[in-house]
Amino acid sequence: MRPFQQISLILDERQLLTRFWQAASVFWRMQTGRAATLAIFLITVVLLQLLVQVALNVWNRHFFDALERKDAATVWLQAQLFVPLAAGSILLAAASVWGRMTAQRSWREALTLHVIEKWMEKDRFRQLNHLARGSENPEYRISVDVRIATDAPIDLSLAFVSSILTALTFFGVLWTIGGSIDVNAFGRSVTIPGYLVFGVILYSGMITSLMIIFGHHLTSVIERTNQAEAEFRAAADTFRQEPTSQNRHQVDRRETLQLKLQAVLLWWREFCWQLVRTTLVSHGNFLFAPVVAWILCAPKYLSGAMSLGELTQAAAAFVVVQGAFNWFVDNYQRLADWRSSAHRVATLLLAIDELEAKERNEKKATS
Amino acid sequence: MHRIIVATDGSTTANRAIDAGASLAKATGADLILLTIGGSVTGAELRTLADTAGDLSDTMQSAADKILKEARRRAQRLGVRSITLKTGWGDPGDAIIDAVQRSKADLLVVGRRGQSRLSALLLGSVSQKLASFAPCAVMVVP
Repeated sequence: MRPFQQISLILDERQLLTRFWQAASVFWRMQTGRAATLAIFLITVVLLQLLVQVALNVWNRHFFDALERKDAATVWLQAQLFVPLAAGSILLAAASVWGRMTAQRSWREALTLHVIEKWMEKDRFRQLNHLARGSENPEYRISVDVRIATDAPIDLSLAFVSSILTALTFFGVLWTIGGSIDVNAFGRSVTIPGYLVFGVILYSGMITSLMIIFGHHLTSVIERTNQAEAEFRAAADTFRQEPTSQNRHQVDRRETLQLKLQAVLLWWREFCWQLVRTTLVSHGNFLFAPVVAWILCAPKYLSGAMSLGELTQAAAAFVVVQGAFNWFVDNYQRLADWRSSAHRVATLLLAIDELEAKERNEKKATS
Repeated sequence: MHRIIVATDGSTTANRAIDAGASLAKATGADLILLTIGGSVTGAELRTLADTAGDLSDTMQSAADKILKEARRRAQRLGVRSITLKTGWGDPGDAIIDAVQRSKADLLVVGRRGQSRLSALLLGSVSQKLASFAPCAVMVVP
């Protein structure tokens, strides 16, 4: 077969994600029964986990109310009730791990087989080795990038669904337990209904904004770090595959390797600084969130409008809702990792598509 | 003396090192090797690259090429004909020593201060390290 000319792939985000999903959806389209069963199982686990979380939240209230009343019988009863709740929570966490990893394994298998089939057909891997830019190091893309690109969407989407359901459910808890509060401002008394809901929205909005301000370069830096790592691996691979070459080439290759390594290290340095900046916000939030909840509830508790149990329940619900709001912030890094891996898988697939198109054109020209 | 290697980072001190190295090369008929160590990219530059999809390797390579071309023009003006350009990457001290060993240079010429006072205080000065560990004579130009 005549060697093809160098293929240059200049692609936009939409094109890459479309191509990735076209290939990745093969599992959901071709193995509908298995995929649907796993999806239903995982959603059920999320719902049951939410149920247990609500039960634990209510348990919190009853336990602390009993403590406040010094009611030993109820404290003992609540302590006994905690055991099945904790057991349920532990079993569901284990079931969730099994479900997620089974779905991830099945999806990875389907996508990997799909890519390998296209890559090996008509010895295309030989052509790609030298000709198509953007498809360097295909073995790594097929093994590691496919894994990351199929692992992350399952974890991220389940966490997303769980966050939304948790936020909505615990809004109810905050609204009913927190109730309204009277605030005196400028000589007038204003009643704020469901003030804890507004409090958590304001606080979460502030934390998310701070995170965006402090870490708005994080996703692009992670992507570039991953890309630099991939280029370094590709350069090392080329160096290894090069047959005994002239000294001059060896020196050039060595310099290229050093340059690629330098790029990797510089991106890691910037990644480190981005993490330092975002840690200031995330760790600050870890310390402040529960305290803010206690402070917001304190006026009602001190006025006697809220019991100790309600205070602990509302504070726990506040932290849970705030955590749910943090989905995007918590998953910044995984989203970036997923995006760069999905891009690399898509680039390889598009390079194979180009080869296929050229094969078809050559066949037409010769017939 | 057969080979003189001059390390430059484009600074004024490094330019004085080039002048000294080039004058010696011309006087002794030695080959002149101009070396720069690439990779000094600031955080702000990296963030701009990350947001604009610019290529870091290309940026570092072209910055190093620019420094070397300027250094070559300077050496040529002083009448040196045999000039080789080299780029190293990584820790400046280690990379310069590596280049000296590979090129079997007889003399290394460096400027006294290339990096900031703070980094020199924290990491030790490059010229100090070279004077201690380089496998050839070292000339440190003030």
